[in-house]
Amino acid sequence: MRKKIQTKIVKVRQAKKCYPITSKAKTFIYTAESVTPLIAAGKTPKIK
Amino acid sequence: MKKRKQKEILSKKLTHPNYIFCLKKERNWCLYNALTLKKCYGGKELSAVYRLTNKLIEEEILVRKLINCDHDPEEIKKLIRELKKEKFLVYSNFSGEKFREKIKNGLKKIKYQPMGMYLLVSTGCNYRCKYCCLEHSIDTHSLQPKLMSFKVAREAVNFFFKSSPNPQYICFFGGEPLINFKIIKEIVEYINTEYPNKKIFFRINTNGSLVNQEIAEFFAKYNFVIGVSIDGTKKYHNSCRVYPNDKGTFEDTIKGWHLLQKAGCKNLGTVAVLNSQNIEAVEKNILFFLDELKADSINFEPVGIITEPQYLYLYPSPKKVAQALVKNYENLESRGKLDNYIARFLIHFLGEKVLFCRCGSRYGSLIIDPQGNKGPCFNFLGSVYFSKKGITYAKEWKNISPVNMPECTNCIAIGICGGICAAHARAVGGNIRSIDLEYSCEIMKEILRWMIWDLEKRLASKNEAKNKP
Repeated sequence: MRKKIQTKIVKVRQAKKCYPITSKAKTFIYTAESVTPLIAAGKTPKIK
Repeated sequence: MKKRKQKEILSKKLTHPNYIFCLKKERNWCLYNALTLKKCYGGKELSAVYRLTNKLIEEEILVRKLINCDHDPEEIKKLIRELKKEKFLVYSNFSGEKFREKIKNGLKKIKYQPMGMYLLVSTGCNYRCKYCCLEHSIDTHSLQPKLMSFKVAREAVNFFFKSSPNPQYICFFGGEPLINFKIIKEIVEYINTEYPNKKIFFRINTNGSLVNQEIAEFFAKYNFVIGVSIDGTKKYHNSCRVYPNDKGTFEDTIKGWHLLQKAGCKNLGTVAVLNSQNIEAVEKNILFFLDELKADSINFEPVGIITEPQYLYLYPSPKKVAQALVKNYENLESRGKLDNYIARFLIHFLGEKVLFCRCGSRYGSLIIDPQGNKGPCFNFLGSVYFSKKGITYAKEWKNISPVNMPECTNCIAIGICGGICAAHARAVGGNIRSIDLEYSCEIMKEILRWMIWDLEKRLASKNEAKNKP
């Protein structure tokens, strides 16, 4: 009996869906004090 | 003829480049490409592929050997094809150096553009925190602290808006910035009158002790994003954050916090320095911030530079720091909030975009000292990096990225680390190009390991949910 291979190279879209921070389904409101890295990553933080 | 044939055979031999890493957790394996940030999850077959390609191996032999391990031939061939496509496996004529150069090109695209300006409105501070990293670059203990004048602040604001194509925020910093609240008030009102169309927000980092009704209402009115330095519950806060007479500062900080909360400040967060004391009860402290203080955000920063030998015990182990940061991320995410420490890496890790520079000092922070000197980082006040002209060392700072550092070439975290803090590098190795293998690098590797296996866990549970009838 041959074993089935379960190997998968993760696609960016798949990975992003797993985290609310990068998932388009949920919009985060960034309230944190240190928003510099987010701005640098091209995200515009929404301030409450 | 013979030579050409030999070359052809050799070019068909496969191997994995040295930036491919093979990790194992329980029964799962992961091949991780440290330069493209691609990850491949699977079972034992991945370990077999990795092991067999440690040395050059002909593709046919590789396939045959894997089939012998009881795997389906077609599936094996498909796997090898995919691994080749994503550069997990390469032919012997593949130039790793050229590939690295291609990745490095991304760094060239990053241009220094001030996005946030930090106004150091006061060099003095009424606290004597044991791990304060600023007391070495500014004299926070002076009885006559240097205060920024309105003229200097106004010129800085004009310079910022003129030189930045995309200004995002202005942050008031110290020492303790509220020692000079008068200037904060005047400059915010100046910006609102002179630049009403600039959509920026204001930030402040304070110890909270000097907050009064007027200040709290002012911050609420202008929607300040406020970071109050609190290290945890009373016991943990007072272990490091003290007055000059060694008395704990907890009560005064909390009093300020409640005034801000009562005034309706909506972006009120805690800023805690992770040290060997509060890290022991990190979960308890997180819950204190969330449930008792009702903080909008929690920010943890690992303790940075300690130069006084009697306080060296405040360094926690890098593993514990990483675990605490992860715990904070998980707690906040479960409540729909964001932790920025882990988030900055996670965004790049998931999006497979190399993080060239982690700190804003390398690409977008502008620090102004009370005399109007401009520089990249407040830890370098008074150094050659500060001048009246503006940021003159931007290129040098930007280029200190792991992709440019020979010491980082074979590191698993090269594509995600973004380089250690320049001030920390200087303290550890004497210059800003130094690395800190035992502390900063270890923290980063721990965080990366967590990201790799947390993603695997989430993908697996998504798959499971999908396959449920």
